[in-house]
Amino acid sequence: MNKLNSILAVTLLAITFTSCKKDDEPVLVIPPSDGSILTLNAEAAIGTGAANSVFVDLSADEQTKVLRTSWTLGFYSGSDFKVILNNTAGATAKRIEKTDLNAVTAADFVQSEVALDLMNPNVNEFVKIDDPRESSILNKTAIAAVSAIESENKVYLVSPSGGTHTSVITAETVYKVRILRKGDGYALQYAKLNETTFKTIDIRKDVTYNFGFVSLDEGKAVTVEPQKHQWDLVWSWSIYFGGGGAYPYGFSDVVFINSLGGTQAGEVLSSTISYDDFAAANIASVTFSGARNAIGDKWRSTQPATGITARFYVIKDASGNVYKLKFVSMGVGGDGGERGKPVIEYKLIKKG
Amino acid sequence: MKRLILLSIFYLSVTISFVFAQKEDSTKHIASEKVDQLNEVVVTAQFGPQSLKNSVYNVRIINAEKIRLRGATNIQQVLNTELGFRFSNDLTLGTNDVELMGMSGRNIKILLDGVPMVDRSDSRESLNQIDINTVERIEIVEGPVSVVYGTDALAGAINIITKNVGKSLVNVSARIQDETAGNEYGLLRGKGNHNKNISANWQNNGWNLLTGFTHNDFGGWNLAPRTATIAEVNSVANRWKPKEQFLVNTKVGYRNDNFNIWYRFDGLNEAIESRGGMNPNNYKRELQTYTTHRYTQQLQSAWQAAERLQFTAIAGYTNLQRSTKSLIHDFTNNSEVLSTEAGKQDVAKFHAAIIRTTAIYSPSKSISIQPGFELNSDVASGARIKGAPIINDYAFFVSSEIKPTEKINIRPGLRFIKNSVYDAPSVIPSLNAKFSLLHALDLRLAYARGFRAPALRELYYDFFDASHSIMGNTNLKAEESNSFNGSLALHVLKLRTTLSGFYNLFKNRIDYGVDASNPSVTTLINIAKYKTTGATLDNSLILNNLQMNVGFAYIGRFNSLGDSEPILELPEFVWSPELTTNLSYTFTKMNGNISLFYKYAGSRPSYQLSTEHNAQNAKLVKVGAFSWADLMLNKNLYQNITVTAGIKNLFDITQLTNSSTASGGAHSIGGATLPYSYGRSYVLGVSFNWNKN
Repeated sequence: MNKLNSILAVTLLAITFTSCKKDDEPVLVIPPSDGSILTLNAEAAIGTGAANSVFVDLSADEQTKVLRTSWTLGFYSGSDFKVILNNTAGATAKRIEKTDLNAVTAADFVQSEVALDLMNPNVNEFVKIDDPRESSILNKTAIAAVSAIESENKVYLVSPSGGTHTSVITAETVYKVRILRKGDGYALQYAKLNETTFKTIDIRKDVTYNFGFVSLDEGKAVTVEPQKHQWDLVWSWSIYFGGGGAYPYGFSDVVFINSLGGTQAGEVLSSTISYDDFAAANIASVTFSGARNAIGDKWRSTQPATGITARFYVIKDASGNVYKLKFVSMGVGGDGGERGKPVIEYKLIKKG
Repeated sequence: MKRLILLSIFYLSVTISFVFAQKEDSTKHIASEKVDQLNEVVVTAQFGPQSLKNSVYNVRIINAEKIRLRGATNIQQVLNTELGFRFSNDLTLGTNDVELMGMSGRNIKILLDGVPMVDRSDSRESLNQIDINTVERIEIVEGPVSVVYGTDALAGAINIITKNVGKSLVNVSARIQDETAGNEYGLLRGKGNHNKNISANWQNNGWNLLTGFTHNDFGGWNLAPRTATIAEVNSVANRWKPKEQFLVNTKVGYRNDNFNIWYRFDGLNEAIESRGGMNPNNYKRELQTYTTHRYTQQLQSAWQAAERLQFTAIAGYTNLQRSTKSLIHDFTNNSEVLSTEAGKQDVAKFHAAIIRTTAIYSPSKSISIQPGFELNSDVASGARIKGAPIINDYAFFVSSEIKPTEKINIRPGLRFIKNSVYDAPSVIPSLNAKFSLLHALDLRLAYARGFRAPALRELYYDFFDASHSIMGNTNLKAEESNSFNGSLALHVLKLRTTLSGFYNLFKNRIDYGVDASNPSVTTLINIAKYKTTGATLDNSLILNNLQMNVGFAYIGRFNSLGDSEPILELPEFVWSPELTTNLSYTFTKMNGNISLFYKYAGSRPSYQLSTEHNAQNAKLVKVGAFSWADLMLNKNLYQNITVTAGIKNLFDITQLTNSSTASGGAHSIGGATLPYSYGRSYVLGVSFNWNKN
């Protein structure tokens, strides 16, 4: 509503200034949203983990739902040649010391090397996934950076759901992949573990996105994230960590900011200043962080199930707009909300 | 600790010296004969009604008179100052669990006239769902009685014996009692504890009929204001949820010289209200109601077929339903909708049937044999129960009582079990013996195997979601125990002193563990062992109008860390002392009585693992000691009316200190204090009793 009013105001303004030149159509600069209350509308899945990830663009009041299991690998569009696993589906990878995809067979498969042992405080568990403790998901990826020297690029076993509680992981469910550079992009060679031939998908780097995504199950490139300047945070189930970083664990209702796209966030405890009182003048007191998990799981408590914790966030998007954002309800601890449909409230406090 | 031992020795020597000093007087008439426990009759685990002195088991009795003097409104209030008993509160669910001699409720068999009470989980909330007004006495057997009562009877059995008709043709009684909850009270309703009962019975020509109705209304304590926020509600742990109970019971029976049959019905409707805090972001608040419906029916009969042959039969059927209803109240428009949170709406149903028949055959005076057959059938359904499983359990048991001489009584027993689901222990043995060393001195020795069948929930638990993966295990075996008990009972005139010791070794304890075939699944497995040991000294004395009871217990619970972390060299047991004192004085002329019920529960230590400077250490943590006392006055006003007044929880205990960071259990909150009670409360009650002969 606020946004509509703003658009109308700017439109009227634009028309006023340009009305003398009837030949040219006005160019509208859409102003950032003043704020809104948004219900992240995920689709129900079994249990507490929603079936979707929801990407939110604060300045456009927009949310984009993506089925968590719709992709397996993400190919970074930045200058590095890095590949991420789908943490939101519990994907895992195991490096095999071979470079010939066809030479990798079920004999190379050991279930415990692919299955993520959640809650096991063993450092080797984090090697199976893109380390969620890092400030950037690209810091410690399970799949090594793709080398320009072809022979350095090994084969990996990839389980699309190795870290979920309920999935069955066998030699039949696992893929073998090998990723090479191809020009300024990637070539993905992949096959089911027991297959003797492989297919190839080429992925080019599109700099308007953080990543290019591929679904191994569907055998094609898929769209997952919105363009990198069109989202600020994503709410999802994801492999994350517990015990202060001691062990990997599956978290529902975890929130990551678009750190690769330039979003930053700072936490404010309600005991310091209330959400309502927080204004532009207070921004200077906030420590902004570019870490992907600047929000993470700190905004809520499910064990004990007391729901939303007493804090809110100040978020600076890539255009410099600053929003204050609070979580209203999440359907835990009798907060009147619905699990899988968290409600966020945010307000523009400084225009970029 | 040493102080306590000295204190108890002092008490004992005082009591003994009193006895000898009062030798002359004790032949005089005693004001209240009911407390002369030696002549009291017990039935739990016996072949037939048996005097306490002749019982081969060491049985404790809490009789009707004591229950009346206490002004108790539930069974917990009667047992909480008894030796070896401890209660824990789950304030999240508004329920309680009992502990006997260091063992929690799931190892204690609760019986109502010999018929097992059904519980939905492993805490014994059923104990407080029995109408106290229908209780004639409570019999407590420590140590396993699994040969006779089957599963769960590892730590012991609590048998609640209900009232029978008296001698009069018609009897009508009514009782109304109000208590404050700490400093909170509303007259007859609202805050505080409000109890009302009306009972009537009739008998004629061998036919008898009893019926009773009770309403217990507890208004909760320390509740947050209605619009308090979630954070404000959660910031205080010691809040007590309002609980309301309606209880009804009926018993109809017929008896003649050789035959006795009766039917009994007990009904309960309980509602516990759980009011959450308001979410200040959306002005919504959750209101949950936990409703329990419990209907227990039993048919019992005893038949003296011949001089040396007797049959008894019990048939019981329990229907238990517990539902959770959660509403979300919207303060902005005063509307309510059902909560959609996972697990917030649920109905769990349990049906349990039991048939037990026994015969007693006494071919001679020195020998008698009791063979018996028991059939149990359990059915359950609910949100976290896979399917609607049925468990059938068949057991044959036989025990015999051999008295080679007047002074020796030996009772061996065996129970054979076949279960339709789990791998039951094929044979459970027991051996009890009583030796009369002197006329006044009895020695009892017992060895018994006990077992606890895997509960339905443990076999069929099914809880999978994004952050949980827990599966029941139908391959579970029973928990088993080996128990050794011994006691020495001295009864000189009106003094009874019992010194007893116990050692229990439990194996195959069922606990959560990781599934061997799939490490990402948590399941229930037979894993842990556990031990308890300890000694008790119990003294009862009657001096004219004064009755005294002093008890001391020193109970050791197994420290499992000592076993799993041998490198830390921890003690095998952690010990807690207890001291109980009951004093009751009757003013014969005034027709009144003053009673003090006191218990000191020593601090409860345990070891916790902690990592400091990258080295694993064991930290000794403690739940603090406390003293509990109830002071009660009873006075008979006119022929029919008695007034009860008093103070419960005299020392105003609300919470116990706790140095543990987590006290275990799903709803426990680690931290500096452990909520225990709502504080000192003041009691006033009137009861009315009318007879027509």
